[in-house]
Amino acid sequence: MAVVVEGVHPTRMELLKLSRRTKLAEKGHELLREKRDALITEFLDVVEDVRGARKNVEAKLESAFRELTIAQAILGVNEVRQISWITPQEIFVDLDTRNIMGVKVPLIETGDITRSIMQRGYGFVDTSSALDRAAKNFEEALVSIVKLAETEETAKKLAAEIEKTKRKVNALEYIIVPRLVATTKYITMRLEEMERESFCRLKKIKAVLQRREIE
Amino acid sequence: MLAELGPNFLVLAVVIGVIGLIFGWILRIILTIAPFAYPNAKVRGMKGKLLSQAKLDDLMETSTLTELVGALEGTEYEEELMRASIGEKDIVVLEGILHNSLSNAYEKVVRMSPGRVREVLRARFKVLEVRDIKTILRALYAGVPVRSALEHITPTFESFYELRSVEEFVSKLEGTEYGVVLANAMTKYAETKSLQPLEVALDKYVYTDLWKSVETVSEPDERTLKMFFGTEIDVSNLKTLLRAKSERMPSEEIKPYLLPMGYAISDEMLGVLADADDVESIATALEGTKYGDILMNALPEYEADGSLMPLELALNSHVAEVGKKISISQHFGVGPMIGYLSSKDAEVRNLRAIGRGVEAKLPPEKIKNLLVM
Repeated sequence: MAVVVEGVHPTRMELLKLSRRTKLAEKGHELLREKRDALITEFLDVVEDVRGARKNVEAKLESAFRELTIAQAILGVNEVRQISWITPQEIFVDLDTRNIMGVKVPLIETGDITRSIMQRGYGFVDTSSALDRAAKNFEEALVSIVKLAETEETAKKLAAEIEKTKRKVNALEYIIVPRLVATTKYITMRLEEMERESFCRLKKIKAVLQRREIE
Repeated sequence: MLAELGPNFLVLAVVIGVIGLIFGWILRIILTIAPFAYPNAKVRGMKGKLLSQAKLDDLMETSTLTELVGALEGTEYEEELMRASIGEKDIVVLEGILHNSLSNAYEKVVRMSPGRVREVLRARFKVLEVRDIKTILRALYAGVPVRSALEHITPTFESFYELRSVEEFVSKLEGTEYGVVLANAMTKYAETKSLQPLEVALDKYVYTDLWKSVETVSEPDERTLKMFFGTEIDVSNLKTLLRAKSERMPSEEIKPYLLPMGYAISDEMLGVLADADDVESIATALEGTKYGDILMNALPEYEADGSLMPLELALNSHVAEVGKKISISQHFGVGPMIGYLSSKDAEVRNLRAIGRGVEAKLPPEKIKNLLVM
């Protein structure tokens, strides 16, 4: 049984106000429910994308680490480590946002970050094609990792928004609307009761007045 | 009297002359090979300590680094390995020991080699020295302490431990051959903020120096040394071209990275190869040469998965093969030294590959594909 809103005066004015609020709450509830359902559909699509992107990253990293092991076997772990010191480590990304049902999600553009051998900063004589292949594989994996980060962040933001919307829908459905309905009912009953009291009082007064006239 | 002795005297004179010629020829041969007799005997002794194929196969079968180190007991690496007490994660320590072993082998051979080839072998030793210089440059460039970068390498560079920048290192090398080379490349380093110009300048310098020193040696050593070091240079240039062409780099971008000399590949041919469209075109352009055959044989593997490794390994194996051939064909001259150094270099590469392969739990057949045979 829902609790009645505290401090409400059982007046007709209040009843009108409550009726308007209840309608608004029900309309809001309906809209939020629709939003929640749409977000869930969108979220499921994004989750599917995350799954695909994660598989892609895993495959690319597996291949990159396999190539790295070969490069380390050919050149030596120490040599590869040294070369990693001198390779440019920054990549440039464009950060933007897009809107999904009012939720701002990140949009990360990496462009083509794979480098040519010259751009990697090491010489040819002491190195090997195994190193080029490992570097290329990691560069490709990095693009996929950025894509995965974007998709996962989108999924997280959508999940948070779904959670928030779900809480609002539940609050409206199970607390606010029932409370407003209960309060409306209470006021209606109270007003009816007051009307009955007033009717009895009037009846009594009328009977007293009629008795006085007879006397 | 003379008339009586005439025909006999003439015969005698001819015989003495022939004997003299033979003796002179033998003496010349003895004088040519005598300086190599002792060093070659020592080198043959050192070569006997190199690991056999069967031993390498055993090493590939080991399952951990500790087991691998155990399997190296009784080899020339044992003492160093025991001193370092290598654990499961110490592949870098093992690599340091292998690096030092190769440097020591070069130093020994340089020390015992006769004067006329000593300078050439010393020039070849500089290739190893330059690797250490590159390590210092890389550490300084990345802000890594030089001491830790050289941690497992024989301490010959203590004076550079406290340096803080590439510029400081180059000025510290002032007055040395490397100082001049690096100082000349510093403008490009300042422009590009990349170590590549410095590393390329060092590579070009050591190989040019090596080639010049080979040209100062007289025959037949010059021919032998040119054949081996020339093959090394050709193979280095070929590998550069293959890597560049696999990324379809234009000719003008590749040329600055090529070593400016060649043995079986002339300057003109290098130009043709640099203009080639792709890896297949390089192999086709070399058709009819030894390198053409090597590349053509390995090409199907490249075409299968796009990896240049089969081509590179085939070329590396060719260098080792040339070293072995020289060792046999010139066994009274510089051959055994070249053969030993070439085999030692291949052994160190192979042990490094086995070490990493075992650590990464690669199956023996995969490790075998990475070895120079």
